[in-house]
Amino acid sequence: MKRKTGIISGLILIGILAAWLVYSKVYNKPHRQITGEQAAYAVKSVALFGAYETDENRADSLYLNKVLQVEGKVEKIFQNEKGELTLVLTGNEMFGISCTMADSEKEKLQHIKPGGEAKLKGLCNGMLMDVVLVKCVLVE
Amino acid sequence: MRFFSVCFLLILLYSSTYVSAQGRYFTRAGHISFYSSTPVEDIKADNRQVASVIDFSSGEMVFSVLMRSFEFPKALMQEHFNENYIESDKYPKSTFKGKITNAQSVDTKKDGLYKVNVEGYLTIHGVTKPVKTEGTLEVKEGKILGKSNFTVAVADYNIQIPKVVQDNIQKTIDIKIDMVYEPFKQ
Repeated sequence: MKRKTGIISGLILIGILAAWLVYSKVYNKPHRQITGEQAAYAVKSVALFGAYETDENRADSLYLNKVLQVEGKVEKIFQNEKGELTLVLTGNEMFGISCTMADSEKEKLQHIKPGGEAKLKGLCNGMLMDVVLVKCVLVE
Repeated sequence: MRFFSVCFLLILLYSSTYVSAQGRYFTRAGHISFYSSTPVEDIKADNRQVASVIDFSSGEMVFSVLMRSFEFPKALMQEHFNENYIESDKYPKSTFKGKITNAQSVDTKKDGLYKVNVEGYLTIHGVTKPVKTEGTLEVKEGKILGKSNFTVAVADYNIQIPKVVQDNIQKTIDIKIDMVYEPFKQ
């Protein structure tokens, strides 16, 4: 009798544990973090923009949804209504690589000014007028 | 796909046809959100990297949206949206190409709030449908704030929602548009 109760309690415990694991690891799994990810490609901002301008389909097949490390001149910095900062790195004379920064980078971004250089990595979402990178973090 | 971005956005921006004094306005960081509310769950997603151009001389208006730029509170929802429903790898963009039918009533040189009617074609998930909606354009300190709300029926765009989660998602999704346009200086 005691043994039966023990087995049932054990099974219930395993069930609760499994449900909790599914809830936390699947249903509530965290958003992708770039900090710990290795970049699939390291490119200069002008070269990345050029690749998209020349052949968007090919560039998408290489870069879409991948972590890219991009280096280039900062053309512009702006903040959206949510408080996220975006750096635009040089592409052509009008548009470039729009890099929306992760909130963790706010402090470090104080040292970055338009006209200076920046090296960062982020997730590539594709191209509109700019090539769009999100969740970006600065690379030392 | 390149055809879309060049044709829709950049051609409108760079076309050297007649340019009126009113000129062109653009944004690279417009905000589009969508919202679905059912007794089971509320779903909201925001995209703050929307590109759009308005040419006031012709009334033409273009939007281009990267589907992967929609951010959901839950990573799992975002994954399902991109992988299963919208198929972002196959259809990375949505576009709207149309006209403000009463663009002449907007004076971009004078601060004020203008009601506008917009008609055009919306392409989502590779399916193009005509749409008609109203919105407002507010001229304020040299910029133009564009706002609109409309609904999109999921079934119209051939988006398959699995039976198991059908009760979690509204049949028509509420779309909210919130843009800040700047004058385009070549």
